[in-house]
Amino acid sequence: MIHLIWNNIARRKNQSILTIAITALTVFTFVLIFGVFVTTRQGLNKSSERLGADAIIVPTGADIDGYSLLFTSNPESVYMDIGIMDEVKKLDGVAEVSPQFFSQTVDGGCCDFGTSMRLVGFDPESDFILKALMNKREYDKLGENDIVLGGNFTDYVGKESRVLNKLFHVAGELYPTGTGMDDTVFMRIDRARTITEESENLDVIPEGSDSSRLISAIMVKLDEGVEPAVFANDFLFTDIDAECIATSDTVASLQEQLSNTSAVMFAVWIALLAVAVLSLVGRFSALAKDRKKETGLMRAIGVQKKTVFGLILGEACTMALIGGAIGSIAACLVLNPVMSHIQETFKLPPSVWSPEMTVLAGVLGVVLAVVICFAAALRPAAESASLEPQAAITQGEVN
Amino acid sequence: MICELKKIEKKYNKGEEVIPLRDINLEAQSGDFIVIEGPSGTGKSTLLYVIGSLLKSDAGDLIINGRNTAELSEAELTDMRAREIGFVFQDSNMIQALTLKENLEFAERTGKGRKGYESKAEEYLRKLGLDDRADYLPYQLSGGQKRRAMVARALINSPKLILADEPTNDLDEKWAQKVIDLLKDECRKGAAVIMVTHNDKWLDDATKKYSLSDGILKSI
Ligand SMILES: Nc1ncnc2c1ncn2[C@@H]1O[C@H](COP(=O)(O)OP(=O)(O)OP(=O)(O)O)[C@@H](O)[C@H]1O
Ligand SMILES: [Mg+2]
Repeated sequence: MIHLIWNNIARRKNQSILTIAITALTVFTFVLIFGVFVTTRQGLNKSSERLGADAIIVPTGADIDGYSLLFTSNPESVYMDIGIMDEVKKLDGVAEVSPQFFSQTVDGGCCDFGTSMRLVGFDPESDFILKALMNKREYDKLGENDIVLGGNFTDYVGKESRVLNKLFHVAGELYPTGTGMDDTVFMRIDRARTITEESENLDVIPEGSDSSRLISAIMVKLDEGVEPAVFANDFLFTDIDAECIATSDTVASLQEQLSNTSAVMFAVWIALLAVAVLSLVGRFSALAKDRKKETGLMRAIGVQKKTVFGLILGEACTMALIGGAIGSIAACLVLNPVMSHIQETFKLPPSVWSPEMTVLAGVLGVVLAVVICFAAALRPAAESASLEPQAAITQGEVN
Repeated sequence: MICELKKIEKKYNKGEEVIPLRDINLEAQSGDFIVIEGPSGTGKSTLLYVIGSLLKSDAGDLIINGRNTAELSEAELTDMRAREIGFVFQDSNMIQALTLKENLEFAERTGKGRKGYESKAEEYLRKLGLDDRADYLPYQLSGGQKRRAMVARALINSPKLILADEPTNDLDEKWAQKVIDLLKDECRKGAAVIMVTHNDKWLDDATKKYSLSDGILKSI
């Protein structure tokens, strides 16, 4: 039987090639769209995961929206008193808090990084954000003169670098996150305060304030099961003089934009799938019709109904396997370049698309091909098998 | 008794009713070489299809090797065809994706199962002068070669009942005679052959002769 199935495919090349080509193309588009869909979605999830903070508390009137805080690295410098952190810590649902101090490097040749960038002071002891993102590190305890760079800097670790006219040692590098952190320079919070205050070119610290108590933001990690959006809303009713931004809201709105795009892609693909299924039904009907006389012959010489049925389905599924494999492999080959392009444009973390995902997409593609071919061939096969042998033989003459 | 037909009737309903078989009674015993002749369009092929259980009759009984076919399931009928009946079709009919030899082997495997026998494909190819065409695909064969191939396929499992629909069509005299001789050999070995033809030349070889007209079989 396998022998016959194989010969039917191999010795009727033109017909088989057409069927295989339709299947291959369908699977190709499926795997590509699947890949793009999954990557972008996962990438965003990962971005929000990697942010580490469920909510960020910023000074009242800071005029910072979630998007610029998360996804741009425009320098922001507004401050509040560190006392607020103790109040936040006492709120229901708060698991961890860590302060950050925002400043900036300055344009004008004073530092190695050229343009004015975000400079963030953080507290290595309470920090839970950078810790989770550490790509390379050269320290156990971040020293006074150590800095950590965002994911867009590479190969700086171990080198010296100037920030606000002071010499620093690059002690660590973060993974890219697709957020503003990628272009940020991090150092100890106390050190960030002093060099900002001492800098002649920067005048961001309010007159008369005690700079050692200033912070720009409090990163908040919530207890398991506490919704950031609910927390942010409840925060409005506390008497803490600060604003709360739920980071997941920001990511969610971006996700929504993206899922609109993917919905369109998906719809196009469904239409394509329908066309493919219809043409495959046509292919297999024609195949069954062409073989009517032969089917009648097989029944006449004693081949059972179910075997005839199996032969046609087997042929359909074998072609599906071949077409599916070709489509899958082709798609997987172009997937990587396409993916890196997408990752670049959307600033997604690069590790999202893995070889395992490629294999998964490929296998899914082949399964899909078999399923649609099976479905498309089912009726023609059943019809062909249930014909009375004489009818099959004589009707087979007609075509 | 290999095959017995009692009051068989068959109608086609295609707009107007055609009744090629009205009241057919026939007995075929081991060793019988039955030749049925009749003009074109009288129902000879229809009769063979009915005997071969490829087409259901509308009335009457068909008994093959002691079993009434009306009482057999579809699968049992199919199985019976595989083991006990050899069919030579009027129109050439082969599996297009298989070579001549593979076609014979396919029929053999269908009749005898997967294992436990030595293939007779080559022997029959030789008997019918097709050994040099063994690896040809059906479309690469001439009309007469296909006819001989169908005879080989019908005989390869040594069936009890052989139904031959114009098996000498497309053949020259030498090969026509060879085919008749092979059929007679099978009778001698105990099979029953029912052959239909409009060529009355073969009536002389028959042990029983009939003519089919107006849906009735008359002994001649
Ligand atoms: N499927 C069918 N539907 C309707 N009528 C049919 C069908 N098959 C055959 N017939 C009619 O039944 C009659 C007998 O056909 P059959 O093929 O049995 O003739 P035949 O004796 O074998 O003729 P020939 O010698 O030309 O082969 C014909 O008149 C034919 O038109
Ligand atoms: Mg006929």
